[in-house]
Formats: sequence, C-alpha cells, structure tokens
Amino acid sequence: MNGNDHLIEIQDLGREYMAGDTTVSAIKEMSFFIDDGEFVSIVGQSGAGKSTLLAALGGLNRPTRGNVWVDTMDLYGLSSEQRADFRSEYVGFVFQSYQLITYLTAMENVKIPLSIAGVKKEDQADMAAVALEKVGLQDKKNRLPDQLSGGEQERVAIARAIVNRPPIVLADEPTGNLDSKTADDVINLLKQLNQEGQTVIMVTHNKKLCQHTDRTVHVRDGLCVIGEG
Amino acid sequence: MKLYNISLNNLRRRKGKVIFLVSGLLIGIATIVTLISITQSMSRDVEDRLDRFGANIVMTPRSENLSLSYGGISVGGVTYETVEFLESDLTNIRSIKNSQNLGIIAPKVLGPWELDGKRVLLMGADLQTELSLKTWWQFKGMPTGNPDELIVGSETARIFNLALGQSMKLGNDEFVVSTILHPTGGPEDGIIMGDLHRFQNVLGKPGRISMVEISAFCRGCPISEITLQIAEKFPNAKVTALKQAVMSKMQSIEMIKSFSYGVAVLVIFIGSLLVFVTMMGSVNERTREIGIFRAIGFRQGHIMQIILLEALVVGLIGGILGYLIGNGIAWLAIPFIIQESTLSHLDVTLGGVSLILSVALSLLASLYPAVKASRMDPSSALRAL
Amino acid sequence: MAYDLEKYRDKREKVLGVRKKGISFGVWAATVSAIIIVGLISMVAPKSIAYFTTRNLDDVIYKLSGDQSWPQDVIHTIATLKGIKYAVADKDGARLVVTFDRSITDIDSLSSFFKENGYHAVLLNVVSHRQRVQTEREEAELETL
Repeated sequence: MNGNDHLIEIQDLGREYMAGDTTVSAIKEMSFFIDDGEFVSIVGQSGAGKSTLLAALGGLNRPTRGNVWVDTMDLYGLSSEQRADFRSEYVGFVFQSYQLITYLTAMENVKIPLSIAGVKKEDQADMAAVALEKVGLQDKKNRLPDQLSGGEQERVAIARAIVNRPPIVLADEPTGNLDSKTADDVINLLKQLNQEGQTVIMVTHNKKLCQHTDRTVHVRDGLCVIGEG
Repeated sequence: MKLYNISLNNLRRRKGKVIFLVSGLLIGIATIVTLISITQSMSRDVEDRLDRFGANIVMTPRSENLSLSYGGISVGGVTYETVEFLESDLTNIRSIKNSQNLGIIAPKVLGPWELDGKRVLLMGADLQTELSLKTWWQFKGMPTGNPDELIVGSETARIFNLALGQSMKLGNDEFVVSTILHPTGGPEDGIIMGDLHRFQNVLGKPGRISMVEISAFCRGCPISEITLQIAEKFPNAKVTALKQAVMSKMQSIEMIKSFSYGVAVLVIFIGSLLVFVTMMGSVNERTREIGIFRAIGFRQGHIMQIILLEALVVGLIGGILGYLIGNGIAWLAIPFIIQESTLSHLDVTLGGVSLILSVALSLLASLYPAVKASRMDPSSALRAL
Repeated sequence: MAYDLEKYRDKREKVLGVRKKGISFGVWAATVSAIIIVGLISMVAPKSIAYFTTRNLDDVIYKLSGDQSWPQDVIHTIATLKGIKYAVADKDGARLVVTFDRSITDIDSLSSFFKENGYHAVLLNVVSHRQRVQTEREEAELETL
C-alpha cells in the first residue's frame, strides 16, 4: 500500500504505551484498508485495541510505528494544527457514552463543529436543524443533555458528528449503553448515513451488529483479521 | 454559535466558580480604588486649602530652641529666647524686589490675659485689614471700625459668656464686643481680637509685633522667592509660605499613597494567584470536555481562546464590581478620615484603569492554564472519557 | 476501482494549506496584558521610587550677611560634609541651597560649621527637597507663560 489507492490505508501500525515500568502493546501490527462509502465494523473483546485503532484512524493517537493514510495524506506526517483541521473537515466522532457538553443544549451541541468551520450563523441554524431532523430530535433541540434519555443523547451525538457532512464517521460503541430497540434505531441511522455516501467505521464488542456492515475487522491481542460483514 | 458562546455558557453553569474567581479580583481592585479614592480626597482637601490660603506668608520671630532627645527619641524642645519685631521695621517688607506682588500686610501682637480667673489669648491687629484677609470668617454682629471694639472667637464667647454689645475692661481700657465669630475650627475660636495699638498698651508691648501675615496678590506669584526676599530683610524672623506648610501635608499624603500602592499590589497579587489556581483546577476538571473539542477539530488556539474569553469576562465583572465596591467603601470611610469631606464624584479615569487592570491580570493569570489546556494530548483527554 | 482523488480535493487542500496566520489570540492577549501591566507599573513605580529616595532630604537656604557671594571653596567643603547631598549657590551666588539627609545630619550641624569657620550665614528657609524642586519647576513654568 502506498496511501493512494483507498480512502483509508493502514500499514504496519503499532502502538505501545508505558504502564509504569511495563510496555503495553495496544496494537502489535495491523495493516488494512477501507474504501470510500464502506460500512466497516471493528470487533473484538475489551482491551483488544479497538478504541486505540479508532483513535489512530481519527488522527488522535500517534502510533509508535507504521502509517495511516487518509485521502492520500499521511496523517501523522501532518502538523498538530493540520490534524485538528483534518478532524474538522473529514471526521465525525461518535464517542462511547455520547459525551455531550452538559451546559449546552442539544442544538448548541450539534452546532459545535460548525463554530470553527467558518459557517455563518444563519447557515449554522439550518444545518443543525437538518442534522437533528435526521436523528428525529428536532422537537427536543432546546433540551439540555440531562433532560434527554440515553438513546436521545446518542442521537444528538450522531447529529453532532454528521452536521458538517464529514466523509468519515467514527463511532465507538454507539450502542453500548442502549437497550436493544434503541440500539437498532441507532444502527439503522448509521446504515442510512452510509447509504447517503458517508464512510462509517463502527467499533463494537457485539458480533451480532456485524451483520449490518459491509466488512468486519476482527481485532484480538493487537492484531487484526479482515472478514466480510 | 461562536467560541464565546461556549465560554459564556460555561460561566453561566459554573456560577460558584465564577463567584470565587471574581472575588479574588474584586478584592484587589476594590482595595486599590478605596485607597486611591481616599488619598485623592486627601489631596483635594489640601489643594482646597492651598486655594484658600496658598498666597499667604507668615512671619514669626525666630526663637532659640533646645531640642531634647533621649536615645534618638525626640521629646520636643525648650524655647529659651524669642525676640519680637519692632513695628517700625515692618516698612522693610515693602522694600523687597517683588513688592508689587504684595497685597495685605497684617501685623499682630499676641499675649495672654487673665479674665475671670481664666487665661485667654489677646490678639491686637488692624481689624479692618484682618477682616479683609480672613474672607471665610462668618460672624454675628457688625464690626464698627472703632478702636474700642472687640471681635471675639466663638469658643471664648461661650466660655466667658460674652454677648454682643457687652462691655469689658482689659487693663485700664474699656472695650465693647461688636462681633462674635462663628466657629471656624481654627485658632481664632479661642482668642479676643482688638485694635493693635490699644492691645499693645494693654499687653505692655508698645511698638512690638508678635507675628505678621502677608498676602500676595496673585496665585501665580513666585511665593517661595518672595518668602526668601522677606527673610533676607528680617534675619531674625522665620518666614514661612503657607503653601510650604500645606505642601508638607502633601508629603504625608504621598507617603500614604506609596504605602497604599504597596498594599494594593500585594492584595492584587494574591487575587491573581487565586484566579490562577482556580483556572488550573477548572482546566483539570474539563479534561473530558477539552478532549471532545479537540476530537471535533478544535485547534490549540481555539481551546486557548475559550479559556481566555472566560478570563476576560471574569476580569470585566471583577473590575466593574471592584470599582463600585471600592468607591462605596471610600464614600463610607472618607468622612471619618477627613473632616467635613465626602467622596465628591466617581473618577471615570480610575474606573477605566481598574477595568483594564482587572482584565489584564485575569488574562495573565489564566495564560498558563489556557496553554496547558490547549496542549492537552487529545488521546489522553479521551482516555478520561 | 481506482481511488477518486478529486472527490475530496477541496478538503485536502484546506487541511494541507493550513498555515499559522498571524499572531494567535493567546499571544495577543498575553502581549496586551503584559504591556498594560508594565505600563501601569512604569507610571506608578518611578514616583514611588523617587519618593523613597528623597523622603529624608531637606533643603536649607542660607545667605551670607553683607550681601556677599558664597566662595566656591566653602561650597565644595560643605558638599563633602557628612549627610550633605548637594550644595549649590543660586545664579547670583548670594544664596546657598544645601540639600541634606535629615536622618544623618541636621541644621544645627551646618550652623556649627558656619560658626566654626567664621561665616555669618543667615538661615532664610528650610523646606523639603522635593517640594522645593517642584515649586521651582512650577514657578519657572509660570515665568515662561
């Protein structure tokens, strides 16, 4: 792989941490690619390295070795400011446990990515409204996060991730804290985004969710195996 | 949605922390404003006196004085020789180089007198000249211009039960109380004034003068030069421009001002330290939040801007409240410090300086926390999620 | 299928074209704040320092009897006495202004010096040094008006 053939390419990726005096390998060696418009799940047990991999794909976690290319750009060859701009332009994050800003309303949370994207105030309102409508929460736009249910918060988080129409959506355990009905709703939402053209990469420990995705990357002990969805 | 919306919303939510932050700055600014307002009022009080008396010069006989001190502790002194002036020598005053600047020359004779078993100070002067010199005197009755009239101070009139029109004998001479002064707060409250030459006789000091008050025509006159020229004519006299005496009081005010600045700097330093510590705590608490912002694509500069905008708002609130509270405290304190004085107005310049100082300190104190927040590794911040 | 390089060209150019434009907000804030604080200190500190360095200084003005001028050697000698900062005659040479530190010496010592050396010096005035300098400045301004 040379970084020019796919939307995302990972080659010989490795990530080690120091835990006291011990070196911990979160990722031992991974190489794979993801094409534009794919819906990929990254599956593995807790501690397998899934979230570390997702963070590396999002330009948040510099690997100890190896390369990550996104849209032909060597992600970790960019400066810190360039990587911040990369995240603003290319990536929508859906975190584990939603991670909404508690003192901002649903609408204001969704607008956060727009506040640094140079979008005019009037356009911000329209774009945020569209995103909230897509997740079915237009009528709860003025509620604070602690006034929303878990599922609703997850949907606000998805709305925030997609408001800027990023090419890539990175979702870390998006259904982890939800009941099955709400989890299905969220998965359907992610599928819909993918059908509309966004590349969705979802980390999960639930193998059953893989049936909804195009491909699955199985992660175990810092290594990966690519399989079909 | 702009970055300042994030800052303002955060401050709105964390009211307790905001109160803490603002208090630190508020106390420092209020301290400075209080101290400066008080010293400004004191200076203004001195300048008012300068306006009223500044063109006056007082000439008194130079007395030989033995100063007493024990191990560096001064216990005053002993005056052992005072030679009063001859009235005939006073014409030399008008012979100085700057004589055209001289206005009224008011010689006086002073001496103690026993009246009804109590001692009172008699002052002989040209009463018409005296009245034209002391324009701030207010009185009951009307000066007649007669040599047998008396002008009595308010306190003396009360002690000796003197009334207008009352006659009294001093020595071999009869006098009539024509005027009683309203209280002035000055030495005239405790004296009896009469015609210069009549009192010279009463006191047994014919042709003697105890002191001379001289007024200059204009405020822009070289008072210090006039003072020196008169001193040259009267080597045995102590010639003092009242401006000089008033200015010495300014020296004390300068000392208080310098001390005040020192105290204020200390208080402000502590206030800034409080802001610094609180902001650092706030940044540590917001690790998760900062991680989210960085993951969304906020640059280091954006994070700094959010923190510094919060500091700016805190600085503004602290500056405004500090200024208002400082003025309030000064308004309450000034009547106790300066007699018959109040805080006359709010100094707008001081308000501007307070605000700018508060904002500048808040920003500087928050700079390191802002830098620390912006340099937080997003992946470490996210591990906190 | 070959990867379509054109699809996200705008975004790519935006990311790669990022240059640090001008001075960051933090640097601005720090610089302006520092200038303000330094400015305020520079307004207050010199006066306070001047006050502390001159707070013990008094000026005493003498004249020689008989309208004589002060000899230069006497002025130099006085200037070397303990506690004396300056000794300067006025432009006519008739008056001598001696600036002394009242925590070290006093007028009586000067008077003794004059008596011992046979000079009949008439004391004209004693005034705080700062006050005399300020008054001189004010009166000079008035003269020029």
